[in-house]
Amino acid sequence: MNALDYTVLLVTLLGIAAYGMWRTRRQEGLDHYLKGDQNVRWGTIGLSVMATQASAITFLSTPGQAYESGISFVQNYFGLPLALVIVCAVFLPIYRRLKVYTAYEYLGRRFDAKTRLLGASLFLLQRGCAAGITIYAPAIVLSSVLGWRLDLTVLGTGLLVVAYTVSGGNDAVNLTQKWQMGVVFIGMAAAFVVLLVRLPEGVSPLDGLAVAGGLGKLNAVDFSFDVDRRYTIWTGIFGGLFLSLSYFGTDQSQVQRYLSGHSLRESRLGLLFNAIFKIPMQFAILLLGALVFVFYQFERPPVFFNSPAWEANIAGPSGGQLRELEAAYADAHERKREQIGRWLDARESGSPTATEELAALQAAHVESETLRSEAKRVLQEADARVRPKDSDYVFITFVLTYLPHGLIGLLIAVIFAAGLSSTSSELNALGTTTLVDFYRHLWKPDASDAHYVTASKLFTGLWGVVAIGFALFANVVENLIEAVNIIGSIFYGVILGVFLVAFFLRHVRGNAVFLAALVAQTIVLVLFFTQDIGYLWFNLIGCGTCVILSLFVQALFGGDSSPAPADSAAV
Amino acid sequence: MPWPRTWRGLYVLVLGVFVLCVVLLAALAHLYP
Repeated sequence: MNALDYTVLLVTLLGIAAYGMWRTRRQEGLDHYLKGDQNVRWGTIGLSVMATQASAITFLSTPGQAYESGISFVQNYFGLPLALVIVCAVFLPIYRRLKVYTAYEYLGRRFDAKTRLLGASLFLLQRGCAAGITIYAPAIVLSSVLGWRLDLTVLGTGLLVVAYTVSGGNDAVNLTQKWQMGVVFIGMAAAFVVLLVRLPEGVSPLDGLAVAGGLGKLNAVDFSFDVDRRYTIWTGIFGGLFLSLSYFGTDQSQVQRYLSGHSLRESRLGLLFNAIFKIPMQFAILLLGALVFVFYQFERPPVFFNSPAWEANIAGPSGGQLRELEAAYADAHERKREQIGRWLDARESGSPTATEELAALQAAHVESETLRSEAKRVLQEADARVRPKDSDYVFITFVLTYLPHGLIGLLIAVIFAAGLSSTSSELNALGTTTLVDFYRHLWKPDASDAHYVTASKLFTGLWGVVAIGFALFANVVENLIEAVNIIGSIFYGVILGVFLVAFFLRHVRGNAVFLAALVAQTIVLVLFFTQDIGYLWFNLIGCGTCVILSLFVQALFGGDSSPAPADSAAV
Repeated sequence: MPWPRTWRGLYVLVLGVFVLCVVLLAALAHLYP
């Protein structure tokens, strides 16, 4: 990165933050601070919801994932449109009718105070940890490849997002997210153009797609019922439906985004915008990764993309072996490149040998991938701290090596902008939930509006400090990101179960659902500590157990089973 | 709203677009190579 890149990066990030703070410098009361000026249109809501979900790691990891194993990850989003339609039809009208600030406030109206506090506590626990990770995860990758200090990267991004989120509240989050998404779209488009322009002479974009397809990177949809496969259309639709329903329907960081809409119509249209464009957007990010893969079929890629880790070890005792593997990989890559030329020629001329040439190309690809795996194995034996998974470094390596100056700064800004936009929604939601569901509800129910605005700013700031602290000490704990994902899956299912009971089982009341939620959560925790189950399954187990137990407890010991007020349930 | 006239119509349209996306994505692997 040179001075131009740093200028583009800093002007983009600081400019958006400063603009957000300046435009929202006048806040008129709590309603305005927490929900915005209530004049937000569907386009802003749509972009805000999209920006909240797309974090920095989306832009670091997803292209790398396509590079490694193709674009089949897109199936993970197949449950999302259906979930958003359910949220629009069922959840959203009730939230708006009851004029709630948080999803958990709704649980208080529908059930009782203890269920509300249970939902809010689980959210704070899970999202509080996740906010730290959304700051930490990009900082660890970017600081390593750019040679920045990790603690300063964490502090810089953390303090910036805290500053504008605290100062401008919900309006500032909406406003900055719109501009941040603009930067993301422009940066992605620029990366696409560079990738297409830099294909070798004689190789058209369609030839590039053929190379990606020929080497198995374009297999997007897998209809098989094989349970060992990680991404299939079935896990995508069913698993994705559960995950998206919990995320968009019950997670305050999303609920707060669409509740800031001018009307029910605007909120709905904002969500449906995501139902339509989320899959194409994820496809575009994955296609970018597939094109990076094609690009690296003609330009020799590094054997291991985490170059700081590679270089540190090449000077060590295993250096000789690593250098040998690097040379063998270079030879294998050259053979593969020549074979691509032969196959494309045969394909273009309609030669009957095209199938054989493709088989030879696939064999050459397997050979070079075997060498890459071997290099990773040797590297990990030499240095146990190095994680063999280097896909997070693929896209950033391409950006830093092949993009022109100025665009490098813009693409780094894309990654940071995506991180800031997610973190601001999270902090905003954490502050709101602490104020509305705890402080105002339990300690100070009758204070002035000005008092609540100040308290809300304070809570948002405190959560910012917690997130930054968590990010600073995150590297002490091994595999922390996975740990946070697991914590999420352990609690998400039960929360979704409570909300599904609230919306669809009108005769079930507070005591029954509270007891069911506690028992379901205990069962999930026991299973987690005693059984070896893929953690995504805990969403389904937690949700199913909570719903079924609620029905049983209500039928056996429920007492009052008169239907809940009609305006607080869907049926 | 000019078209579709009801929310239900819009939901069906959204799900239709989803099915179209899946079909196009599935077709991609058959088109290339």
